[in-house]
Amino acid sequence: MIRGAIIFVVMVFGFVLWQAMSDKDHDPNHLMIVEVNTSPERTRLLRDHLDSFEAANPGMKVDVISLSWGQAFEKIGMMVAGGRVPDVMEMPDFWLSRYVSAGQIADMTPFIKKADFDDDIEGGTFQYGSINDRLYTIPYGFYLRALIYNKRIFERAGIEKPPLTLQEFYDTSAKISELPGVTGFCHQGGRGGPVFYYWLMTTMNGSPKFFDEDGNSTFYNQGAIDGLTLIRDLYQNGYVPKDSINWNFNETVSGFYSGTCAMLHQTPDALSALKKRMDEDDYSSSPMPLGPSGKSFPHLGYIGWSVLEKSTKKQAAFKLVRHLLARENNQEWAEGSGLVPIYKGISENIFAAIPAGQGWLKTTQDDRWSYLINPNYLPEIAEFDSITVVQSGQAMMLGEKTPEQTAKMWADFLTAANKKYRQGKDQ
Amino acid sequence: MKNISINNPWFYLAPTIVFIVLLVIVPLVTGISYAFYDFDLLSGTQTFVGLEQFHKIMSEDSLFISSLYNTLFWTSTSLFFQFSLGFALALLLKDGFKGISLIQPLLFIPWAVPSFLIGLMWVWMFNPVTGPIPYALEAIGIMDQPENILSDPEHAMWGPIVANIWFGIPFFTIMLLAALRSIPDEIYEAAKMDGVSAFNIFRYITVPLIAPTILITLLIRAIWIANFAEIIIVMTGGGPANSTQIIATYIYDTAYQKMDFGYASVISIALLFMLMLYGFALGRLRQKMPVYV
Amino acid sequence: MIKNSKYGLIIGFLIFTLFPVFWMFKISLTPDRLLYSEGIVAWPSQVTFDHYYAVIVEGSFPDYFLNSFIVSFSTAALTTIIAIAAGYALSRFQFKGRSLVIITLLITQMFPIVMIIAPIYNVLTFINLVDSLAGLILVYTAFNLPFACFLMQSFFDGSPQELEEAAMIDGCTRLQALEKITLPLCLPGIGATLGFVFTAAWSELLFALMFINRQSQMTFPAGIMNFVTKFSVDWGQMAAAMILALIPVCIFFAYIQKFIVQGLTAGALKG
Repeated sequence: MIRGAIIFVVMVFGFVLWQAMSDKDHDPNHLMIVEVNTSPERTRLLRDHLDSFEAANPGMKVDVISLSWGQAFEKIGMMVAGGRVPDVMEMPDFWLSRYVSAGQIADMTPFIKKADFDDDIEGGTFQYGSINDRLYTIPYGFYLRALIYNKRIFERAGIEKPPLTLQEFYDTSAKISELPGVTGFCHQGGRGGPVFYYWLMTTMNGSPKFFDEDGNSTFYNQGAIDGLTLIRDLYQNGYVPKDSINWNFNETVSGFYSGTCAMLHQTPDALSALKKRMDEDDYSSSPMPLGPSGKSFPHLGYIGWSVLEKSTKKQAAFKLVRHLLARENNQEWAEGSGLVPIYKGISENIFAAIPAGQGWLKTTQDDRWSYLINPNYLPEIAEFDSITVVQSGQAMMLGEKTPEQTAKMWADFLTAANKKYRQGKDQ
Repeated sequence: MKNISINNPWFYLAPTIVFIVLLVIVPLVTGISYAFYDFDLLSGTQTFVGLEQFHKIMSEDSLFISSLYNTLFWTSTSLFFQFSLGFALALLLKDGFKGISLIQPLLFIPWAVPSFLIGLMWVWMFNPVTGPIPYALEAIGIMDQPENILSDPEHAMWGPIVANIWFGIPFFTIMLLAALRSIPDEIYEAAKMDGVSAFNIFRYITVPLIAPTILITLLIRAIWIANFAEIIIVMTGGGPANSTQIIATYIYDTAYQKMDFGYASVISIALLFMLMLYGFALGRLRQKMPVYV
Repeated sequence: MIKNSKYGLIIGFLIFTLFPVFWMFKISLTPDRLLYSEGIVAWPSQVTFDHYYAVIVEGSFPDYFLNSFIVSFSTAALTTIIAIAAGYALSRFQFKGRSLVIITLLITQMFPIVMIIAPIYNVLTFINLVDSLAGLILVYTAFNLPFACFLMQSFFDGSPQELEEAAMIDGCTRLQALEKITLPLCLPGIGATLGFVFTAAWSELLFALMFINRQSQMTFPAGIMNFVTKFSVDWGQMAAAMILALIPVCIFFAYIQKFIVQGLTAGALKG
């Protein structure tokens, strides 16, 4: 018995030694690219683009590491800290300032210029990826919000068209909630949901700015408070599902396709999840409702490709980023992921081709809608977005805090972060 | 020479010590040292700040206090039900019966499900669109209408607790069953011949004999449950409005959402300290117990 | 009467244990379209095996299962062997530093793993075992050892020392006495320890997710995360993978329960 145990232990250590000696790390001559917003279809498309890159650049090979979205932030942080630095990584907007202030991201300004791209690139593309006028990431597309609605439920409630204004949005939600077992709006009270509050607050304010000239948050304004009051009332009157208070992306989308709620505030990539489970005739989209000023500021998020500062193959890495963002690749990528592409003139084609693409088409074409961009240059934005607003937003919905208190708390947080940022910039 | 080595306890402990020191103690000390630094994981910069971060937890962190209460509730409730139900099940299985070899592995299933999946599974069960629990609660009159308990700040904690109980029963069953079966039958037979009642056999023979196993499992499980964040993270994310935030989830948020490893380490040390007090108390209890074998 | 209530209680436990698993089984057979519209019925109106087909044939799950098995089996056996030695020392010897060892082992369990995962990652990088099954085996062994040691210690404490001493007086060496007398007496404990560590390694997600990048080295819990994307969870396939993952565990339990059942009753005392 003891002899057998000793033999077994020796065998295990033989295996350990063998794996430690074997060079399992990827080939140092290969580029390593990390994707974080992973899905099987998208990974295949990325591989296609990498294959065409390898074909166009003989001798270059690229390995992909696919992280699952839920744990990507922790994992890549640990990889970078542990010295296993990829050459190119996918960079969501709210991580950017964190990575840049930690000195991990290469400044692309000298290597990639807007002039390298076609003239018809969307105006903000380079500006969104810049901090203090240095370019750190180039967005590969935009996650624009619109309102997806369930046509069948609208018919049953006797509503003919989607809400155009916030007042109509409120009334529509109320009317739908008269139907048994259905509520109006699929609120996302958990992580990823705060952009809805930002949209409401700025749209009621009538300006897409987070800060005034003095650097104070616009969430102190009465409009912002009114916006929060509106969603609080929706919740407390039962016009949104009661359990939506801690819904995440998944629950929100499944709440919509299960018919629990009739309106969904989402980006177009949610459409692919809907398509699998709903008849395409049963839903459509419209732009986010207009505020009292006759304008609306749907949220625009973005994810881009960044090159890491510690990469030993930066030139090749820049080349790869450039390749991934080439016009035809970007079009394919945007179509596959349901994004607004960075090239003008493509999004019209993409959204006109999708039956439920009306809302995005109109948002991109009509002047009454302009975009709301988070202050992603603030290092505190990730904490604000994923913890502060989520937990205190829930407290407000439950009536533990008033909209005034909540808006002031958020405004205090943002103002302090912004002052800190401005000070650092002046020095 | 050979005789000296096999009679030396350190000879038997050496492999354990090598493993623990290299893969647990060294990382643990690193983790604790974060508490004295302003530490940024991404850049790797460390600035020594001494005890500065300890002041915050003592004075101005109300979320820490509320998560502390939630941790106590979460740990004690989960532990109580896991232990009592697990012990009951072990007693039921102790004597064996026809078909036990088929049923026993099935009863142990929950322990083998990854905690992340347990969370998802019970989210599914508690959801009125996809799960039967809200309807069952309505039928027995606990709820007026089928609603999701996870969105109710008053009772949301019961969701993860039920999932945790489901997960933890087999642990106590396996451990206590193994201990029960180690008691020689002769002891029971002798007691029966002396006319000792079934309850007294249980009270004065069974429990004292398996007491070491009971204590060690209670100790270790309490420590694990207090540190067990996955189910809560998956099921409620600490919400609604922090009502299910325990210290372990708070540490997770602080470390990986705020990226504040320094303060996360301070909270972890506070948790460590409290668990040490608990361990010390149980250790004293163990010393006071008479040794039977 | 007593017998009936006993069976009743066991059936109650079985229902509580198996109902959620049954619910997952139902989901694994439900076509995606019916997942929500028939969310609360006990059995879908239409049954599909597509999810199982996708998991077994199209995905990499056979590989994940093989990896999980290699890791869990190696971890369980390695941990148990090392823990038997340590538990024996803690149980049979009184020596200076004993309390220190016990307290240290306990403290290792009290610090949240999320706080030490980054330093462990650095240790693994240093010995070139990041992204490999061997690295997982070492880490799992280290983290399961403390409890396994206590467990073995408590079982050694419970087994009579007199027999062992008698054998040693009769001329057995300490190791022979351990092998011939004490270990057979502790078979239930060894079985419980094996079972405990095997399942812990089988279901572990955090380390697997953090330390493994290559598809070829993924274990089943990490592989299951592939079904969770930002916008949707592939419930059907995930449930199918989970049900499949329970089968080897049940077989393993069915096997080791023999040890737990045997114990003293197997007549080890007489030998």
